Amino acid sequence: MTQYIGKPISRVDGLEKVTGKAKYAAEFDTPDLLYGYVVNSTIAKGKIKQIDATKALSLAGVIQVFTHENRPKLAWFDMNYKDQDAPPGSPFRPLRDAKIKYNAQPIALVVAETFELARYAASLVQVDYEEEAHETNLQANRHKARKPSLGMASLLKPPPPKPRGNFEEAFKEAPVQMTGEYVHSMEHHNPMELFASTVVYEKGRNKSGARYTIYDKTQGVTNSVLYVSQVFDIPFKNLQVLSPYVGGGFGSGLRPQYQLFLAVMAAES
Amino acid sequence: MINFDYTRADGVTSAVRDRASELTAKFIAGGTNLIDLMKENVERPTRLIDINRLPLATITETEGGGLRLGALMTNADTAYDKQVSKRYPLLSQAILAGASAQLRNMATDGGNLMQRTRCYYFYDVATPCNKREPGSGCSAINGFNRIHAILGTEAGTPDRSIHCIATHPSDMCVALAALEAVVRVTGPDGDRTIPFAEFHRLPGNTPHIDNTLKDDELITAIDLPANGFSKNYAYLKLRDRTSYAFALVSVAAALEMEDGRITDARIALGG
Ligand SMILES: Cc1cc2nc3c(=O)[nH]c(=O)nc-3n(C[C@H](O)[C@H](O)[C@H](O)COP(=O)(O)OP(=O)(O)OC[C@H]3O[C@@H](n4cnc5c(N)ncnc54)[C@H](O)[C@@H]3O)c2cc1C
Ligand code: SF4
Repeated sequence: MTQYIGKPISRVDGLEKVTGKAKYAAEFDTPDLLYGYVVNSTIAKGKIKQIDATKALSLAGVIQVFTHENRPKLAWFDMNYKDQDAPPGSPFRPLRDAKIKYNAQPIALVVAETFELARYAASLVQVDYEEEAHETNLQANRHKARKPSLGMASLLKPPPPKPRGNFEEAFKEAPVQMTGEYVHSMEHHNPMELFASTVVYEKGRNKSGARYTIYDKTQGVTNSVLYVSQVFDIPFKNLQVLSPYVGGGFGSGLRPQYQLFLAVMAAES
Repeated sequence: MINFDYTRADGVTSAVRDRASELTAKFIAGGTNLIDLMKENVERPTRLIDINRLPLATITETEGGGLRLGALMTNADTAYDKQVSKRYPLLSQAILAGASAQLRNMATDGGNLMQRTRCYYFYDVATPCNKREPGSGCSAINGFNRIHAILGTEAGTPDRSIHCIATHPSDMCVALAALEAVVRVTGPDGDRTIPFAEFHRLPGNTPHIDNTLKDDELITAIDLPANGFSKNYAYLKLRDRTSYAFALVSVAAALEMEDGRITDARIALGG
């Protein structure tokens, strides 16, 4: 270690990254690639009464608009949607039903021949909501917090290490004690590599023979493989997830994000 | 983003004529603000009139002994210009407190004056915003408004009700206000000048109008008066992060001193 401490050392992939040569998940162009753009909810809690994609679909070059109403049938159990790093509680399942659980929830995917067209078409999708009162202030609602049941999460995740020493005792006997409440400012993950998934789908002789090569923005390809396999019932051997350069993550790339789900769903359909 | 037409203007007169004949068109310079707003469907121009080929990327001396900054000078070239950094260091300092090196390389001086507010709700078309959709309401007044205005929110409103609490986010403009710059514009009826303090307007009850430039007018230059206050000056920008963030509040201050006495003082406040 000492040979590195205090000296500027280039990262192995540093040059590629700063010169833009490193390819990220959204940059693997393939022939006939289609582009997806997500429509997000504009309310924090409630229900979709109606979602109308007629205008979007009428544009030449728009292939499909997926919503909870027309999505393909998928794995039934919550368990299948748990990944290796899933927190306790019920997992979020994109396009599952009409329920809105949070603001900017993905509620539709527009697929088109170009990114710009998909983005424009997404702005034409009309959504009618039934709004419910929401609470978004976590601080003010802390008294309502409850411990979720551990469920599958505890099986997939290694348990935390056993505590060492005895904090309570040491603190009680400490010559100086200070107690305070500290609130830090908002922190956001801002990785260089944007969240994206490119799915290259190759037809097999039958459904179970189809192959998926997936470029995913992830810090853990095995977690993405596991998730896609469980949710879409695709055998491991037909799946490859690649992330040759992780363009930053700070933990936001540990778990499969909804764009992976949506991209695989669209590719499969 | 919606589809739009594109024209490249080959002269100031034709640029202004094109704009006058299609008021829903917009000039595009560096594009660092306009393109972002178009992607979010906040700005929906039917045509972009590209002004980047106009001969407005120069810095020249004015008759009054000051400097004339062409509207298409980039923020970076302006800040690092020998004359500007020597004679108007307050302006250089303010420009360099803004954005990032890459953005300052693209952003133009004309565009800097015309950039729109950074109010989050203005950018989010799913929320009410009087500046974006007059009469729809202001989401910021009872929302997240840490970056919003302290000064000038009700002034200019006859009924004293508040319609918008957004700020103009520019650093450069605070220094230009302190220096008492003058904005030179060209319209279909010819040229006119606008004193800097009269260029941006308070929201009042028409917050959708940011400034006194008419729709069919083009900014051609910004004139700096002869005195640049190059001895005693400071630009102070307070923000949550010391780089790559907009000001919460900012101050451009400049003093003229003689024998230890202040003979002239300029203070412009942002925020
Ligand atoms: C991430 C980010 C951070 C930033 N941080 C800061 C900051 O900290 N401080 C700061 O001051 N700024 C900041 N900026 C804003 C930046 O300074 C402006 O976006 C830039 O100055 C706009 O210039 P432009 O040439 O790119 O304008 P454009 O985007 O091309 O145009 C902006 C507007 O000006 C109009 N326009 C352009 N030129 C003329 C002209 N000659 N006559 C009439 N109208 C014209 C256009 O029609 C358009 O409406 C930031 C921007 C970004 C994206
Ligand atoms: S402060 Fe102004 S820009 Fe922001 S939401 Fe209110 S009206 Fe819109």
